Amino acid sequence: MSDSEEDIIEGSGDEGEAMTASEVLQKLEEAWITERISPTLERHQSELVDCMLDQINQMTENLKRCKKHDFRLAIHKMEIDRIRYIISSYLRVRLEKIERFAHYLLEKEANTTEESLAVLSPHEVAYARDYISSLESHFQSLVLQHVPENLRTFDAAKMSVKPNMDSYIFLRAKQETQGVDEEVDLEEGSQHLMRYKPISHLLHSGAVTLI
Amino acid sequence: MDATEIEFLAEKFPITIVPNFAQEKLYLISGDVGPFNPGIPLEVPMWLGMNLRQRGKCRLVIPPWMDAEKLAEKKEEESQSKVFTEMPCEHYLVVAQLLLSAAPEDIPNSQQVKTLVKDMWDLRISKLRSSVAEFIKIEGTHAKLDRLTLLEINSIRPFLPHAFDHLHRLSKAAYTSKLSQTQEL
Amino acid sequence: MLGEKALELIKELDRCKDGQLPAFNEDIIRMVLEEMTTLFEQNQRDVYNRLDRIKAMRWEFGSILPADIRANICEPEIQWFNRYNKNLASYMRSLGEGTGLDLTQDTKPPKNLYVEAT
Repeated sequence: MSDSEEDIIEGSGDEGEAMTASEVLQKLEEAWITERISPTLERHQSELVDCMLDQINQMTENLKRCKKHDFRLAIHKMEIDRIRYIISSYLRVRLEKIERFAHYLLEKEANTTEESLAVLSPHEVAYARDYISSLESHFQSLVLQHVPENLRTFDAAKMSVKPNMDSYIFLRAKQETQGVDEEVDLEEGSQHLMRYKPISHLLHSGAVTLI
Repeated sequence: MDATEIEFLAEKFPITIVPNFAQEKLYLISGDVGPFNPGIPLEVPMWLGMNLRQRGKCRLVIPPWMDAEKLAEKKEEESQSKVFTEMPCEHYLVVAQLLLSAAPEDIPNSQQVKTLVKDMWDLRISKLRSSVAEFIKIEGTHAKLDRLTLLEINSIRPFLPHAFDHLHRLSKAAYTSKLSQTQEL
Repeated sequence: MLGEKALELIKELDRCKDGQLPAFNEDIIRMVLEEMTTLFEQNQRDVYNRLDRIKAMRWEFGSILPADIRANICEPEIQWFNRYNKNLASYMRSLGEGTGLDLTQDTKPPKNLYVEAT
């Protein structure tokens, strides 16, 4: 447990250290919106989540020292609520997708060698594995003992869903990019409805944002 | 995204207030705000401005576009234009609703402003409806939605993306069957 | 359907005198097996959909199922619920480098005080 946690901190990389709290919040908010809209699970951002949780925990501690009628108290509490909402909503959307696409994601994870491209965080991997294994044992105990032997193989992959990468999404171009999906030019600031697949690399490079 | 989430995002945008109190700078996680000095205007996030207004700690400076005359001109421009015109604020509807509900007395001609903002929204949404029909008719694989605000885009979600998903599946199926026919020959 | 076809096979066998066998009816047997597979897959989906509902209850009611719902689910489902609950709890505890975060809370954007005050 503690080993994997250290990995997360080390994995935060150089850009994480240089960012201010408000920049981290901004990035996390973008990640949240993207995750809400994207048809698939995006790369995990545990370092942003951990950083923001740490910020609101520290702030909560500091507020304990404030006097009850301190003018600032209500304001800081409102901000903490706002940030906590973003974090929970973001992680909930991820869990929903992890459950729905568990098989697909773990398979993909097994083929990813580079840590910075990892879609699932180590804790999410553990969650997905236990989730699948719980489904398997449920089917074993409930269904499989009552059916003939020739049918007695539970195909978990059959129950697992793959994300539809051809889903249409709304996007706004942050940088000019030409010839996207063969024929579309994205001018800076323009907004489009397009398929996810041909623009996913632009999303990761930051040239477009989902709206 | 649902409407409450878009409202939540809009509440992050800045608004100018004139405080009636003095307070040192606040070190918020999202950035520093203040210092606050009586009578000196400053920018704060909407959620904070609304809260201070509610507590009687400030007056709101209404954004210049929320003016009956300017809105009437804007409405005329929108109705004359075939394409969507540029809105003065990305979250015009939400901002107007928040300000009108929190501090109608701070807004000159508030009733008229309310009606004009609502008219503008209706105008743009009906324009959007007819262009949606157009998009689907030409069976494009791509639609351009410049100058539409987030809440307006949200009003055609999930309907328009789903319609396009469906068209894409159909054209893919048609392509595959054409391909297999050619192979059979 | 399945039952009828299978019964047909048995009747056919029955009609034959001892020491004789009817021709192996491959078509019917294949149909019966195919239908069994279809039914089995349908059954898997039903089981899966029930779990989805049970899962939703964890998010709605917390780690203790209401008695009326408990009465309507079978023992393996209760076991699955407990396991789901445990997995979710340990994931939520792991968040924020171990400080934890309850994801079943904060399900709606916070509504600021100013709305109630008007």
